[in-house]
Amino acid sequence: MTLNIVALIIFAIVIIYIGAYGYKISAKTAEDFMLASRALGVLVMFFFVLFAISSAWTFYGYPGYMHIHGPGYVYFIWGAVTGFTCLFFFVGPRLWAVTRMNRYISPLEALGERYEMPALRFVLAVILLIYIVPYICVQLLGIGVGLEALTGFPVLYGALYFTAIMLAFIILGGMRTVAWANVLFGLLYALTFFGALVGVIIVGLPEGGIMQAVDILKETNPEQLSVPGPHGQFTSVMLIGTIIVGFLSLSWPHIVIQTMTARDKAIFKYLPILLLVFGGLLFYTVPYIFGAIISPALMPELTGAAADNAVQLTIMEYLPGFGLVAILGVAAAAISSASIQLMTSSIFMARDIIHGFLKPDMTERSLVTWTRIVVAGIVFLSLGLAMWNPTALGLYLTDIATPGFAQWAPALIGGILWKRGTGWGAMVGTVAGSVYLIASFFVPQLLFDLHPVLPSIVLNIILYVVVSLLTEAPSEEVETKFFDEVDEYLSAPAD
Amino acid sequence: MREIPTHTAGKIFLAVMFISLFLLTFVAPFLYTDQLYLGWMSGPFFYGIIVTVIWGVALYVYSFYYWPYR
Repeated sequence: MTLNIVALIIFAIVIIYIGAYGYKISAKTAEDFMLASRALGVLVMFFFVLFAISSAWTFYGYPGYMHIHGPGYVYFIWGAVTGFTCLFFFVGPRLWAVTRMNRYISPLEALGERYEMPALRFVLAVILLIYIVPYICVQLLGIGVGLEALTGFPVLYGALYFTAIMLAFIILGGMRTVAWANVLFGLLYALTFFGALVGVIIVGLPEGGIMQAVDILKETNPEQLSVPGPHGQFTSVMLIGTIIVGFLSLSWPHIVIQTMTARDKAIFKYLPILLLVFGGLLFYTVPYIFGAIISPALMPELTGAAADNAVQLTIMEYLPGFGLVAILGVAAAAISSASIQLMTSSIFMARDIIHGFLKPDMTERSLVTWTRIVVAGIVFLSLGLAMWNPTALGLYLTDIATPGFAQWAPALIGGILWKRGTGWGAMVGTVAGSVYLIASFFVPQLLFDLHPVLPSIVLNIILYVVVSLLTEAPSEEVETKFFDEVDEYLSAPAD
Repeated sequence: MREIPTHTAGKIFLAVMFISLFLLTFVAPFLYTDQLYLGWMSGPFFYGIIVTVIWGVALYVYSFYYWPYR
């Protein structure tokens, strides 16, 4: 127990030191606090993005689901990896260029101007906040549960402890600190996870490693090694739905906003390739091997909710001394994701709602102060929601929040790539898709046995295109600012 | 993105990306058996790796040698 407490204190000191250092070197401007002065280089950007994507879900939910249903769930990863590649190569450079040229701090600010419709900016901010806050709740809850399993501390104490240290480093340093913390935490998490996999294989499967695990499964549970899996979950149609849902991850707002922190356009050449190689081929292979092969072979007795902890329980069984290291690695992953989600939601609230509508005359200094206040407000709101009803939260996350992010994708991608897209098209598509999504939560027949995101996003896209074509085309000024000038800017030699 | 379909290399690049993803999404799910590749990789994992490699190579070649904004 003493060792656990010492490790947790050291962890907190390191994080707060990063925050304090970030505060010391910051320029104290809104652009610096919210977008790290748009100065992140390729390696920091890469780790920032990879570990913003890779939350505690890659340790619990993803391998846990494969532990029960076999390898089909890997299709979500292929969808997400290709989706993020498209975001950073097809959409990213243009969004980066237009926001940099016009000093937009939020992507919603850019869309409000692009569509010449300030109300759209407000509506998008509210919708995205509704979807993103539950994510922060789940991360905090996940850390608390993990710490409880390891140390016996109550969930609330663990969640409060990590909330406090996360708040400290975000409020002090803003986006730059979040980025650097992601690099540190991400590496800690990746090394821990990889080390645990190697350790479990050496200790638990000494006569052949992965092949020994495969042999065990061939004898005891051969369906675990192929689709549709032991319970027939991943049929062909289900695989198609899974990869499409994964692909729509490209609309996660906390990843979209990261495109605006890049130092120069060359980053958009390197980043997608790095994500494919180090994310798709290397990092995500670790939870795949753990969840689809190793834990089902070594811990077949884990079923139901216990399977969510399959990786952690396997580590605790075969590497008992490694448990604390593993949980700190997971906490690092959860904090790295939660911090960028928190930062993004605070920007939407402070820049797009408070500054954009309620206090348009506020100074830059006030904007930074307001953002800090909002960070604290949102994190305590999230913590309260997480403690209030975690079961309902889980359902909301799966059925509404995750598909909800996709609802701004047509407005975002259309606004950046399609000249003819109009404000009314974006407004009608986004609102109709969101309303349909929430309605389908209460009336499941509206889903036609599909994943919640599919019918709502199809409706959204159709309405966006049709209404855009039926309404007046965007002005010449918009076409110049968002298309012609962007082409010119991107065609120029790199800075 | 808007600049990519305006030249031949861009069209080839988009075709490679689109066709490989289309095959993984809509064709491969109907072809999987219980075969394991290299002794331990399931079909969904192995074919995802193949598409990821194809995308990586296509992106490298296009973005470093043909992308108008390179």
